[in-house]
Amino acid sequence: MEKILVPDLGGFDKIEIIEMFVSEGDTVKKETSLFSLESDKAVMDIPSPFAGVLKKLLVSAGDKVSPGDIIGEIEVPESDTVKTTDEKKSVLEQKKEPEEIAVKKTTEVQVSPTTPKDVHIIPDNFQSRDAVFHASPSVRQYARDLEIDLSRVVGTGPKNRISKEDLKNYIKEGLNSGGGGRISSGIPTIPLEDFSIFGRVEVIELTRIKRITGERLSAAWLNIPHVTQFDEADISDLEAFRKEQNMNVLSFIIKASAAALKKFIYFNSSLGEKGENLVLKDYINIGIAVDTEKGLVVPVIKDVDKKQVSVIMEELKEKSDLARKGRLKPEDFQGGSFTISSLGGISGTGFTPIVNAPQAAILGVSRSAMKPVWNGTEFKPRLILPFSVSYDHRIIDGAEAARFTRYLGSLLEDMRRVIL
Amino acid sequence: MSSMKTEVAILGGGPGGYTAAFRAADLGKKVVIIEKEDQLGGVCLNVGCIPSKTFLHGAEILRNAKEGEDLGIQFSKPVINIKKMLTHKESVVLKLTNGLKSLCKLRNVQVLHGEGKFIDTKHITVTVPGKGDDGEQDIIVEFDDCIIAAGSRPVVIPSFPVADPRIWDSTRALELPEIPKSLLIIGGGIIGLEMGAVYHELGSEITVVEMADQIIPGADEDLVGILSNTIKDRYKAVYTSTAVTHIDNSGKQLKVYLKGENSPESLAVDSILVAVGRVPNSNKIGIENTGLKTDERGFIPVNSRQETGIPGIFAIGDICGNPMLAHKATHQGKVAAEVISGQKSAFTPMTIPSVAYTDPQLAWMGLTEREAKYTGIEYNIGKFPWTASGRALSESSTNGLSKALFDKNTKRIIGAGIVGKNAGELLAEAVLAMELGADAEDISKTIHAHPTLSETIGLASEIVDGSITDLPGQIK
Ligand SMILES: Cc1cc2nc3c(=O)[nH]c(=O)nc-3n(C[C@H](O)[C@H](O)[C@H](O)COP(=O)(O)OP(=O)(O)OC[C@H]3O[C@@H](n4cnc5c(N)ncnc54)[C@H](O)[C@@H]3O)c2cc1C
Repeated sequence: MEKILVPDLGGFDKIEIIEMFVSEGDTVKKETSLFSLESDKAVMDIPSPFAGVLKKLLVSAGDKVSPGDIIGEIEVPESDTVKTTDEKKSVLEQKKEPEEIAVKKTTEVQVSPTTPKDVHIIPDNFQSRDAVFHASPSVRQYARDLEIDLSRVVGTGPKNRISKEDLKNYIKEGLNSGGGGRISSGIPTIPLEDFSIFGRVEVIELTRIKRITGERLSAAWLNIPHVTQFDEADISDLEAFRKEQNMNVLSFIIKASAAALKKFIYFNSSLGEKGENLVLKDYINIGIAVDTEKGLVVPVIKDVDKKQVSVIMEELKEKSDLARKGRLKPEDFQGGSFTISSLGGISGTGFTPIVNAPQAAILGVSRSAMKPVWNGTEFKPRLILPFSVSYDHRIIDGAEAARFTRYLGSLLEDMRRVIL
Repeated sequence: MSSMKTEVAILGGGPGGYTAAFRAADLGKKVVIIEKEDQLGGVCLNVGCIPSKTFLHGAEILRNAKEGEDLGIQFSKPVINIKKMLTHKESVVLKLTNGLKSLCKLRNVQVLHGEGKFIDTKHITVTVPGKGDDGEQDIIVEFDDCIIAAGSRPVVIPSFPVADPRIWDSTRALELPEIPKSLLIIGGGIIGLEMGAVYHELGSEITVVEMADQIIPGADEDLVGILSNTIKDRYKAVYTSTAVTHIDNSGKQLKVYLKGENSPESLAVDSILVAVGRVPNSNKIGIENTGLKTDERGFIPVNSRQETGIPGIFAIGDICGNPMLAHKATHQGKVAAEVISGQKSAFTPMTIPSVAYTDPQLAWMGLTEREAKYTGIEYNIGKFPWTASGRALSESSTNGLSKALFDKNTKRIIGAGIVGKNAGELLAEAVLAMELGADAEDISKTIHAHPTLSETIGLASEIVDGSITDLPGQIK
């Protein structure tokens, strides 16, 4: 019998199981997905570490698990059992047996197995080692007393510490806004109405991804002075070429953006902590906003400048598939330096995307359309792609943004320039 | 057969149990402690922390006397009076256990001395041994809430000879049955090495056998290395990656067969201390009558409120899991008592510190460097060798190292380890720093008095923030 443990989840703790793929008695292969977990950012599948028959499952959907938790037992066929190479260990186990057997016997007599479940709604408020905000033991207790989940509180103390004051403010905010307390931004909250007076209403819960994206978008929208620059590119030649190569336009746009970011380095930067410095990045990692059932997710394609368009296309396909299935890993979201949001597949002539903070700019791609273009002697039908770039005006000024969008447009008009 | 009712029953009067009892009483509960021994205090006070530290203090005096020579102070050969050492230990234990008794009286906490077993989830029978002419008597205790604090006992290895007076567990070793000429310690963990330190100073020739590839397997090897180099000089031998396969007790000496990388095939010794770990007492409390389920090692699983899953039954201390340490038991005891009293408490330490009171001491908390590497956490580390500490030099204690680990992203301290004199006391600063979320600069800019050993923590942090001047500079 082998135990199945929750593996290290890249620093996450207490993650909810959203779906079970197996049940007791199932025969599983090594790497078969047992269940999936949903963290702040991703849904992860947990593969079986062994092949065999699932004898016991100690968890079900809705439970929260942490790395190291035992989630079940699997009976591994004799030949598959990894023999303890460590002979010394087996000597010890052998010796300890009688004690353990004695204990085991008691276990077997038990009628109704019980495990301590968290029946209370009061959050434990463990301080995780790698959390952004830190709460000292007394603050953790105070949060429990107020029944506040510390992971939802922003610490305003020095070095991201959460103070008791922060907790009081969190409660006040919650009372004022009529909903779960939010980050205080000093702006008036929107009073809710009793909609049911006007007709039947239904309240549904936002998905976790939507809630978290919502928080990030509001933070970006409140903190960054946004300006959006619109432009368009004649992609008739590109369209002919991509059709011939059986490739998609977005992969070329990603590649062209990388070339433009190389030239206009401020678009690939971040504003430093009090706005005193600019962090210029030597890498070009482009996030692609992908619309999924559960909400918007942004997988990142790394080192785009060093990759061929065909490689980019493959990676794009793979990552958007994973994203739609909710199977992206935390590292797939990390490290983006610029973002592209493409609505080209749907409709629209232009939109103003919100910068994916702490990045400096975001490219919005709209739907290309055939338009008559005057070439000096006559109108010609050309395929025109409208696009927009929203940027942080503290980093980039208008003239530069116009030069950036034009440069990007010119690359799309003649992709040969990308290699220059 | 008689019966009684109480609000809170506490099964086991060790550090976990009595702390829980006092806290619950202070929060207004009617409390009964059920303890099978004649004294409260559990393993810790009677056969654990306190007696071992009392003897280690004696060992330290003997070592200091020896080391006085280097300073130009010479004592004559010490005369050791084992009987007196024992009475002294007993008087220390008695002071503490009597203290507990009077704290019970002051708080109106009743103590029933007798073995307790659950009959169901609301009742425990206590078998109180007879006094004088009266035979033993069963008392049924009915409770609203119960805290299981029945602790642990030494692992017994059944293939070793039983009932041979020359083969000891830690409890027996603390009775100082004799000072054997040669003593083999099976198990190079904290308990085995502490007892080794005592018997070594009392004159025994010590051999240590450890199954893992280093002594104190939970700690980082750079720290352990300093301890193990020291004891290798003092002891006959330390065999790691070695197991004892068989003990032949037919001769005048015990013949011990070994299997290991560098060990001889067999050894002959006068006595053996078996210190290979402890098992929870969960199979001795009638747990089968509660429906509670232990894990495969016999621990009772609990959540952060020390709840077991059976309403009204809580578990704390050694019986609910590792690490088996008294300071864990006491903190969990408070949480259980507070939850029972309706408070919203939870056991949420960021770390539980570990200390080996060996010579030199070894203490660590948070993540070890090995764990940090294994889990792929990016960290900055400062290691300050005690050879560069003025205080360590003046105390002839340069055999030490202080190190601290900081998360590269959050900058906060995530672990620390110290080997050297008083390491156990020095570690407290690092634990506090971790709970308060301090970073290297917070610690390095906190003024540590000079000359103290505590400075080494400040200096290890200075290495990380780059402000160190006590070591050759790193030009940036
Ligand atoms: C040699 C040695 C040295 C140690 N040194 C240290 C140290 O330096 N620092 C440290 O932190 N820890 C140390 N420990 C560990 C420490 O002693 C334990 O972690 C601690 O005592 C656990 O407390 P507890 O309350 O969980 O259980 P225990 O102390 O084990 O107490 C349990 C009590 O329950 C009683 N009991 C059990 N079953 C029943 C029953 N059925 N009915 C009634 N009563 C029952 C027992 O008699 C006992 O009194 C040491 C241990 C040993 C053996």
